[in-house]
Amino acid sequence: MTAGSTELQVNNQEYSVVELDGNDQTEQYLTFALAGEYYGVDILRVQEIKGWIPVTHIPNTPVYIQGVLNLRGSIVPIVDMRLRFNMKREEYTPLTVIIVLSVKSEIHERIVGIVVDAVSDVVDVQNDGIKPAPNFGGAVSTEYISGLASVNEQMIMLLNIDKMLATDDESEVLPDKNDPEK
Amino acid sequence: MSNKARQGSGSPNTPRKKRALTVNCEESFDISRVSALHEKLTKALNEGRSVTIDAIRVERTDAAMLQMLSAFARDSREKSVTLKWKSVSEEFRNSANLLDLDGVLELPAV
Amino acid sequence: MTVDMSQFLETFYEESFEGLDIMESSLLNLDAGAADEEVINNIFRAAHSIKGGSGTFGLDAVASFTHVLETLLDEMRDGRREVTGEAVNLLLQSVDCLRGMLSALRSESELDQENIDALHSELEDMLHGGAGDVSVSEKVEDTNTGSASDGSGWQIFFRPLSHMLLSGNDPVRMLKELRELGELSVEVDTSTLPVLSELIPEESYLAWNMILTGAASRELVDEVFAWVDGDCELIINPIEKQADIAEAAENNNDDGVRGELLNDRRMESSDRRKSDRRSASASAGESTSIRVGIDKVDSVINLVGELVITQSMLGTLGEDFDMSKIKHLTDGLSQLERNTRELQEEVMRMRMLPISFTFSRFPRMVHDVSQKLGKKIELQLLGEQTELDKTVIEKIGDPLVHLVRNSLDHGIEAPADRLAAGKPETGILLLNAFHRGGNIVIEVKDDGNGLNTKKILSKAIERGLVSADANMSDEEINALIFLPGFSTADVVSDVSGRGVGMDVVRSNIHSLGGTVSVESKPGVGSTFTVKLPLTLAILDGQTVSVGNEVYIVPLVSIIESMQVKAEMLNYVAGKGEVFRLRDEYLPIIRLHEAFGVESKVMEITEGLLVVVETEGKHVGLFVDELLGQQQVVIKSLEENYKKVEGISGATILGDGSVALIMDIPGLIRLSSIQPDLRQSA
Repeated sequence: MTAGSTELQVNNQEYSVVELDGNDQTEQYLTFALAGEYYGVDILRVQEIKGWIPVTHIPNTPVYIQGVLNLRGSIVPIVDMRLRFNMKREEYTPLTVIIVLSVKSEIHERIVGIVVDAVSDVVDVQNDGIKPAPNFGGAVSTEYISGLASVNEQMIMLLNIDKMLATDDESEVLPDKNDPEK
Repeated sequence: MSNKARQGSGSPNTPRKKRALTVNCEESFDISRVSALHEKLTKALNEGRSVTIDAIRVERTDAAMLQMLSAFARDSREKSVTLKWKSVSEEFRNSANLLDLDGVLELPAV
Repeated sequence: MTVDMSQFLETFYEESFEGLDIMESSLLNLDAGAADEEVINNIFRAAHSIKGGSGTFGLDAVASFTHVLETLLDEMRDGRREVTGEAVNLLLQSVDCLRGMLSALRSESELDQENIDALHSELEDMLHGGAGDVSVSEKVEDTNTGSASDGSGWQIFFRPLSHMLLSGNDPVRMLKELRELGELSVEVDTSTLPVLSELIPEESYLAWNMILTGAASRELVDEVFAWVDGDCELIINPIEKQADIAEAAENNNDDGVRGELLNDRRMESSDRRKSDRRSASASAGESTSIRVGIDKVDSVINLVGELVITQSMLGTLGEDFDMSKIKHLTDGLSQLERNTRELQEEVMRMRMLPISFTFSRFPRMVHDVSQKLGKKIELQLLGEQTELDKTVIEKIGDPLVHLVRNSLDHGIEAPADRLAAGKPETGILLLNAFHRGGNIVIEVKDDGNGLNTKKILSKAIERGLVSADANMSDEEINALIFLPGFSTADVVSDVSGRGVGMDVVRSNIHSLGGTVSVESKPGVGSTFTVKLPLTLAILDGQTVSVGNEVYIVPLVSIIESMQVKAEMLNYVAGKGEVFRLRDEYLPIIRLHEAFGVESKVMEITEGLLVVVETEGKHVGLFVDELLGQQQVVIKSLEENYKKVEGISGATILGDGSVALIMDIPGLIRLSSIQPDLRQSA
């Protein structure tokens, strides 16, 4: 994976070329604020960003499922990120937005909206600048964080949305009680 | 074979010196093979390579194959490209006769 | 680069199954009485095509089996063999056997060789038993000369349409078959054969002019081309004997007429074949693809065209819009609305299939079952072209089979009993489908003995479904057969034996958003009426409000809505709140509790109760108010989220907001487990 690997590229299949290139590639993340911390999601997964509008509640679902919205004819569930991570619930403000994401699982691809305090920026993150997330006791369990990046001296937690927004029963039966004290 | 063809086209000054294309027909010489052969023959025709077809092993053929070969035989005459039948199986000849394509194909006399 | 032969093979299987369906339905027509030549011809053609195709693909087992079958049919066609009931049954078994063989080959599983061999030898036995010692192959020869035509042959022009080769039909094979019929001279027309570089290898460019001399009958010539009906240009004309030419010239007029007649007949039979095929693909079962008529596709394309025009009109309008153009804008928007609605309707129509897809399985079933039971039954089908949603078509089959079996087994009496009752010996079973309102109604009607109300009532009392002193009308008693726990096995139908009762029929139909009811007159017959929605994509709903939320209750479940007075309410330990409706106490489900919604209306008497019915249970749903009835398009919650108990889906209301559609059975389940849930929460 170092300079010595350039020779390899000649004979290798296309995918491995991409992989090797990927090291110094940059990827774009959409960052948003949640309870004073900054989080990032892969920009390629972002379908759209829209202002908060009232949703239709779904009975007998976890509290963090705010309800569903009509998004161009599709019924899309809306997840409140503060509630998802057991943070204090805030009144929604004019800055409150819904980020509409495409979430992938082994079975299929779904559209899910997340409610966040505010969107902040689109940032370039170098792949080799991503560090693994230590168990530092943040609000969000490290299970859902794919890495940490530092942009303009601001720490951004990059989210693994596929894991975080999975609907299989396990992830919902197990509440996010990870380190509730810290 | 395709490798050699590519090398051959590297010397555009001597197109006529290219080796002849020999087609060894399979036992089942039908619509399932017609596309691949069509491509080869079209190329040979464009490059002016003579073509030899050996149809001795053919046990089954059909209208799609015979039709394409007929088009090739007719066009090759117009372009003065040589088409040679090395040998022809009974079944192949019968099928061509049946469709009245033996004339166009200029199958050799028995 | 090579052509995938398996695609032809797939076509062959599909067409063969259709052919078998044609054989089957034609065979069933046969046993009605004297053999109709045209019907036998149909059967023969189907068998012949399967033989030809299986030969092409090297499916020898199928080819040799159909060969015997074909020979037998051939004798029947020529009148050399009588069409006996025995023969028809054997042929029907052979159809089943072939179907089995083809399915096995298609799925690459093992053939039921034992069965095949047994049938094969039975067929051979019949063949030899009836027509002496002539061997099979010799008999084929026999046929050719046996059915000689008057003329000395046929002039045939044959031009395959460009796609014909891709359907696995090869002129080489066809001309070989022709050559077997007589002396064949062929002249090819290569004038439309393009230069090699422009040739698409799998397309057909050639045409043939042929003269077939010999005594082959028109039918035999037709059979060669039967498989490519509609895939080629084909002209077949008789040629007269040399000596007759002068005469023919004189009778020129007559001759022309005759030629036309022949061609007309051919057209007719090819039309029939096509319509047969259409209805025959019926039993193909639950497939994921759908055959859509070109007219439907065209009309969708037209509508999309209009939509594009409207869109560009609105686009232009928007470029420099000012208030003076507001009229144009509203006009444009209403046009857009109309376009969209029409497009929606058309697209929905694409999913619609005629009910003949379901009905087509019944002739065989009625034939088999009535034989087994020793009854005489005539099946009448009405409204076969009535269209309904593909999903409904696929799912309504089993419930209908059950209803039909029920009528066969128990409704229609044995011939002797019918005669004794002064009825015709042959009972009539009528399947009738038609539109009524926004629904499809399917009736299964027999002129049998009707339901035995006494037996039903005593059974129901025995099972504790009704109290012994209940005073019920016949109608109410008959409705009991749909209750769960009312085993139909020994009362209404004793043949089912599969432990499937009418309650299953009813719950299947309910799951499609439909209803089923029965009407019966002792001694005269009974009618089962199935009412289904036109499509599963749209639901007739009642919108209700609970707090700030709006829900949709399927109209099909609603019996009535009412305001209740305090004196009708009661609280029963262990059952919760109930209210009295006529003689019954019905449990109440408070929707605001079941769905966890805050509501201003907490007193039952201040709101409304919507009485719904499902799986034989009646409950009252407590809502704030009723808003209105409307058709709603059902959207899936599972697409982006997951199944939610008590909710069957969602819809988008006129203002763009989402309303949830209630799943009444789920809601009842939900509310009965609710107390536990709340304790644990």
